[in-house]
Amino acid sequence: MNNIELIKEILSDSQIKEKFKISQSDLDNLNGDSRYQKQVVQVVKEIVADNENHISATKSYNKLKNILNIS
Amino acid sequence: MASIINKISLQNFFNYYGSYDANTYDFKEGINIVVADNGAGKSKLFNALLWVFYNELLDSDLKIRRNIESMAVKTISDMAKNEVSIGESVDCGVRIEFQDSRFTYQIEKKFSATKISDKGNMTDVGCWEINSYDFEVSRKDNMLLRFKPIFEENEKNEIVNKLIRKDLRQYSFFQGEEVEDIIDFSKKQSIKEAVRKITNISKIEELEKLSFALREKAENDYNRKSKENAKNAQELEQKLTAKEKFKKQLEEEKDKLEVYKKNHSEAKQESYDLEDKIQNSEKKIELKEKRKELLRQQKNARNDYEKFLDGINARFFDGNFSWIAMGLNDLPYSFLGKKSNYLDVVAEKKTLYRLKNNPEELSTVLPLDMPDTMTLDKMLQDGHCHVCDRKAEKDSEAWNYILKLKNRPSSNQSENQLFKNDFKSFFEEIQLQSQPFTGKINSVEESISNSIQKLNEHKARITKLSDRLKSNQNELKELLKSDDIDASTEDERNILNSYEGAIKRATQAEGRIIRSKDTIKELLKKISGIDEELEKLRGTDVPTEYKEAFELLTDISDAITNTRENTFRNMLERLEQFSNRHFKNLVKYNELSGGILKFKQTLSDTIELDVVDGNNNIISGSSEGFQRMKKLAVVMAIISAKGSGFNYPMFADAPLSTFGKGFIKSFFEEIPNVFPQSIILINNIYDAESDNKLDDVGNDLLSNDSHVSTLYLNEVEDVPQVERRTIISKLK
Repeated sequence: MNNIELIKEILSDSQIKEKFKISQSDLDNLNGDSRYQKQVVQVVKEIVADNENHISATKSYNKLKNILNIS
Repeated sequence: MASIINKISLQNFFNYYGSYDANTYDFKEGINIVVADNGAGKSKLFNALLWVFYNELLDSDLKIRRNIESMAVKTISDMAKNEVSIGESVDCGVRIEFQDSRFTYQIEKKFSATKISDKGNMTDVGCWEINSYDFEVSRKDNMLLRFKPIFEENEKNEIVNKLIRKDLRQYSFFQGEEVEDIIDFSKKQSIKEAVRKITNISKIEELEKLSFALREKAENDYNRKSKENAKNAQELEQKLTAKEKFKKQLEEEKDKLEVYKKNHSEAKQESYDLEDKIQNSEKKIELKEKRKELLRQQKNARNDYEKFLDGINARFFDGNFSWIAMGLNDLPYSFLGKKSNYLDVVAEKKTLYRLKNNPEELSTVLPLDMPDTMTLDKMLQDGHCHVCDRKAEKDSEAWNYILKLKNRPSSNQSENQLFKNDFKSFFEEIQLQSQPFTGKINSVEESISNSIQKLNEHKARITKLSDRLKSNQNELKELLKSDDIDASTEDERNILNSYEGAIKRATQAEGRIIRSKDTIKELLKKISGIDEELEKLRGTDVPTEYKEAFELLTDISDAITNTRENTFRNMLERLEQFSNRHFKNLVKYNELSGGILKFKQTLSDTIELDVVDGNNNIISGSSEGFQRMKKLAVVMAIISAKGSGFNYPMFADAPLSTFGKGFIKSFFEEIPNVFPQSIILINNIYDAESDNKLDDVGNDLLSNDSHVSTLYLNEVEDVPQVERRTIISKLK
């Protein structure tokens, strides 16, 4: 399972899909290079990439703060 | 594109005598078969890859893998070793060429050995000096002609890994009996491990951990902001402390759960491992107790037989049997006749003697001394003659005659001189002594016949017990794998105790797992309750971004947990689906259905595999061929369930050794659906009597209709080992 497949799998979770109104086209349009409009998509993408690159939780959180507007 | 092996060449490697050019297999994509009888180089070819992958070789004498350095001399062809003189060297090596979509690679492992002595056997390590071990790798672009050497050790190893990836090697590089270990149905952990490998689930687990840590940090920030803005900071602090306490308890409980699961899994595994042994142990104890009883019965039977034999001789002279009288049926009559004649002669002689000496004396026709004195007394007393049954009143003539008889002199007193010997008592003694025998004469033959029957019964009893003991002894030897069948049963008892202990521990762990899961639910409920209370206490002035960030990261971490669980579950379903698809295809030429494979997650998260029939009843006790087919089906499913195809060749030595013709046919039909290239080394289709050394299945595979890409035949001549070499013929 590559990263895009993993992100799609996480965002396909029924609760996430419903709560954040993620459509099938949102999932179909996912690819590694696009900028994602929805915050949840961006956060999942960041976490998956950080995990892939073995980034520590502290560093990863500091990066996420920008997306989450809590810096 | 997958890695495809183009060539394997061998130089003075075991029986592969000569240069690389003389010992080269050219393989293609698809099915490649090397057929050889035992000893014709199949396993040695497998060894070539073992050397490349692991620097090891299988020592066929010890049945273990050993480092190449420890068996270098043994590895060199005996024929090559025999040809060199002191000071000369022999090269031994393996070269593999394979390619992927962009490059072609060559891997070569080799060494040379110089003969330094010819004292002793040429295989003696002391006769040879190993010069160096080389590991050379080169690569060329598929569009170019020349190979360029690789010098970096890591890069070389990466290229070896490209041939068959190390962590997947166990599923596509194996020898016949190793199939048993790839997927060991008794080891629930092995299917779980396979699922983990093909799903990259460890990556999702790491992601899950990261998401938990991020959620924790977001919650800490949210709590910090809440405290800054709370109207009732003290109460908020208390609730937060309470939540922390429950969270800590939750973590502890989760840790405990993991321990219980581990205990459960280990206990279950132990019980499964012991199951075979326990059946053996129960059987061993039963057989040993039976042996004791049989030995006791055998001893008794032998004693009874000995006693019977001892008694046989006595039966000749024992009046109850009188065997000595056998065949003497006429003798008593003859004896009585002779005795009677003798008595007549005696009586006649006495009477004549009396008449001669006392003509006036009473003469009588009565036998001498008859009636006896006691009878005569009674007659006198009764006044009656019991001889002629007439009255003989006292003082009558008859009475006086009886008195006279009573007072007559005894024959012995007066007539002894008439006879030199008196045989009367002799005859009487014989008659008295022979009385018990003469009465039994007619039944002696029947008695002997009965005794022979009894003797045969004793012998049959001993033989029967000996046979039972022998059978018991063979079963015990087989089970114990030892001749010491009278060793104590302590080991067996220990196994039984261990098994009972493992079952007990598994049951105990099951209970703990269930209770622990309940505790976790309770704690989560409590935490959720506190969260609701906390929301009320946080106040309205907390920046919403902090709350949203915490909630978002909570939702994401929950989704990742679900993804992990779903991925595992889905892969298990796929594995089951593919296993059954492959299994169905593999057994299609067999009349018996092999059943349906069912994968099930256990309480301790390991995977159980059952084989069930159409009514979901568990099937057990299939043949070895079926068992191995199931394992191959699961191995194929592991590859197929990955979804993206398998990018490596399958290289298997004797994977079909327990298969019948139907299995072999279906195996070669199914294997291309899973592996882009397969190189199968087999002897099942070898037929020494056939012109081309292939049986009917082999000839079907050789025909142009089959989808076999190449087919090689290995042969060795029946010559001394120092002249023995493998001859490779390409049949297709």
